[in-house]
Amino acid sequence: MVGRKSLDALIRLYALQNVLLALLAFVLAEGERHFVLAGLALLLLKGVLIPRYLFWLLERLGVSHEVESYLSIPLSLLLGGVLVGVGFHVGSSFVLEGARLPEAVPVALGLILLGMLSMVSRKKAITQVLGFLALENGVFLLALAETHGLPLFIELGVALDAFAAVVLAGVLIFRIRTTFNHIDTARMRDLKG
Amino acid sequence: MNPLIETALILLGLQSLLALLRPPAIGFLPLSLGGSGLLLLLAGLGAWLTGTWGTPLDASAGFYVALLGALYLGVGPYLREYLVHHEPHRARLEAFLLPLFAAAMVGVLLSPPGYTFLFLWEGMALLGYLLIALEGPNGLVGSRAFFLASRLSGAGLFLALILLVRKEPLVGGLGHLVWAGLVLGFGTKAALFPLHAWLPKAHPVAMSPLSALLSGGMVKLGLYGLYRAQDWVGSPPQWVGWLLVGLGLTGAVYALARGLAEEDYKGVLAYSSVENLNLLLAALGAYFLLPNPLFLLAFFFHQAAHALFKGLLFLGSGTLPVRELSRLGGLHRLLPRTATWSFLAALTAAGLPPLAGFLFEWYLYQGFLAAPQGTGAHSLLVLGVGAVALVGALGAVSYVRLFGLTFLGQPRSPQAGDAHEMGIFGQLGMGVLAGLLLGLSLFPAALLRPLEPPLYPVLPLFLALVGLGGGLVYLLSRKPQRAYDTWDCGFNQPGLMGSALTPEMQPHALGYSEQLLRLFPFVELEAHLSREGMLSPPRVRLEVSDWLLALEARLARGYTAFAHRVQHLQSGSLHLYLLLQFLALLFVLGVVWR
Repeated sequence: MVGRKSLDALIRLYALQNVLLALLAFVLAEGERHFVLAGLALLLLKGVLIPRYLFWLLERLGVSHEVESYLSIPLSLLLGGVLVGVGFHVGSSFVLEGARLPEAVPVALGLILLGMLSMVSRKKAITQVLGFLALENGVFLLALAETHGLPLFIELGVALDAFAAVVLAGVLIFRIRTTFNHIDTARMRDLKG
Repeated sequence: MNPLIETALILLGLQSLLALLRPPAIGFLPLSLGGSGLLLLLAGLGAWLTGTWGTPLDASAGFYVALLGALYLGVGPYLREYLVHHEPHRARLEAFLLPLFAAAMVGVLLSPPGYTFLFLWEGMALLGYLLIALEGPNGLVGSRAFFLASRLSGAGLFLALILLVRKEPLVGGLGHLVWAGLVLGFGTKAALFPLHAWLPKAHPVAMSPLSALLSGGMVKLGLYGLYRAQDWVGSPPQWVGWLLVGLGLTGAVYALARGLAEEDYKGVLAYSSVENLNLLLAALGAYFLLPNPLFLLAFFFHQAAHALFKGLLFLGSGTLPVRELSRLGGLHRLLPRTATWSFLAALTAAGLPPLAGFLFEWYLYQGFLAAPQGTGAHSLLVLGVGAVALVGALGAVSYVRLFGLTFLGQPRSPQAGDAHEMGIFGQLGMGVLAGLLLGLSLFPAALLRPLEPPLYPVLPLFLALVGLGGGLVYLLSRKPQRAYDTWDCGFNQPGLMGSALTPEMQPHALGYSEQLLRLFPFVELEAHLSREGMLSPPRVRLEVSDWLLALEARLARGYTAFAHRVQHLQSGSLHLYLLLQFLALLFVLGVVWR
């Protein structure tokens, strides 16, 4: 996700990530109902609904589908690599006893760090939303890997939460667009004391 | 829970509700606040005198409940008359907030250490702040100081209580950390010496009945907390005792000297509160060091006495037309009853023998003199006896000055000649407090019975002293008297009646204490002479400067500069904010780096 220049590719990658996460939830389910349900919700909400909404949003906004960044692509990739390395190095100390999938903990940490990286370095508001979603996926993966899954209601709640956040962010981006005629967060710096 | 206390809390709640629903609702204050005060007094005294009365209300909490109850009993009827003079909108808010404030104070006493305690403590601080803030722009300095102090107090308590509620043993430095938090948290409320700065700012600003509640009641809860913390944490480490004794004695002397340079009637009372509280803290600290019951006797007895006489003095201050001492004078003719009540309270505060204030000093002397020789605590003896003697003398000077300048002599300004006595409810409120104070002075054993106090024969001494004084007055009044005009250096014009003397030529509030203040270099009085023109008389302006206030101002400037510098972080750039969060996350990860 840090290496692509096109927003369409980013959204597709995000959808793919969610499908894979849902598959992981099915694999780990071992017949437990709430894992299956959580995976289904994930597939439906994040794998299908959110990406479709984002595509629609991009269409309606009528902005260029290009990712604008403070960092060049090679530098982003390099930093991303370093962060994943950090995640792997530190991750081993975050594994709890009785973790279901200890190998996934460093991956989840790496995902969280990469999500933050794309929030920090990208300029368009919509890319910040995507970075946030990747970060949220990292948190979900961490919960999946460390515990026997959070209670179903909490997981569904979190998923719906993310959906609501994305819808709200969409509305907000529309407002930004109509007010400023652009969605470049780097140019909005008047709110200060 | 105790039915009396429940009823009292329900009464307070109903009063608040009534103030919301039916705007004036002031007429019910004597019933609700005063009535709840009576119930609390009975319940608290019962618990204090008979030992424990169930879990939430044990003996020591009962003492404080009774103390608050006595104050409410006096303040309730007084408020009925006081709030009538406020504009209806404000009076309504006050009638709504005051009962809640009163209930929060009681709640603090009933709750165990933990989140409920913190919630009620913060609620009490917030309500107190709101009540002071109702004074409007004039009260800004006071309400801000109060708010800042309650933040500081909250910070210390959060630290201590969060460590406490973990239910794990406090090993190593943690016990010290908890005590440091407690001393900071409760010490700020109880005006421990360098943390007292909020009190002389907030109390003069607040309306008189509120000052009575703050100075008589709320600050005592800081003392309660420090005393009660022994049950929560176990006996305190040595340094807590030394800290309280050292700072307490220093603070008492400082506050009295500073109070002598104060021109505001309520400011003098506030500094006197700082002095009394610091002495009480010193008594508590000495009790921590040497478990001598005399210190405990002093600690408890003087809290009751201070609540009553300071409540009475603050209620009396509500009758004064202006607050500047240099504009008051001669008020005993216009306000005879207020003058009587204030006189009684001032005598007690000055620690004159037959009254309650003296017994406290007596216990303190006894306690310090009984310090065992050859130990580190022996130095307490020298330190404590000297400081208490100095404080006693200065306290007497301070109250002679306060009472004399206000009620004796001639009015120093036209406003001082335009004072109105409180009506029946105001007199009732003050009379209740005065009655309780007299009762406490005459029968201290009734209150102190659970501690089995050693006492001198209070009643015979009282009768003997009153008899002696009365006899002297009688003998003096039998001498033939002649009235003269004061000699005015011959300025008197022949043929004109009267003299060239004006009321302004009476002793000035600062001039009175100027000689004495030379002994204390940390309070400086500077006289500025100005002469506007050949024909107008020269004017003297006295300015007070104080080391501690100068330090405080410097700290405030430094903090503001620092805050401005930090504000550069808020550049408005979203990416910078995100980057900061990102770096914070990386830092946390770096902590677990292996």
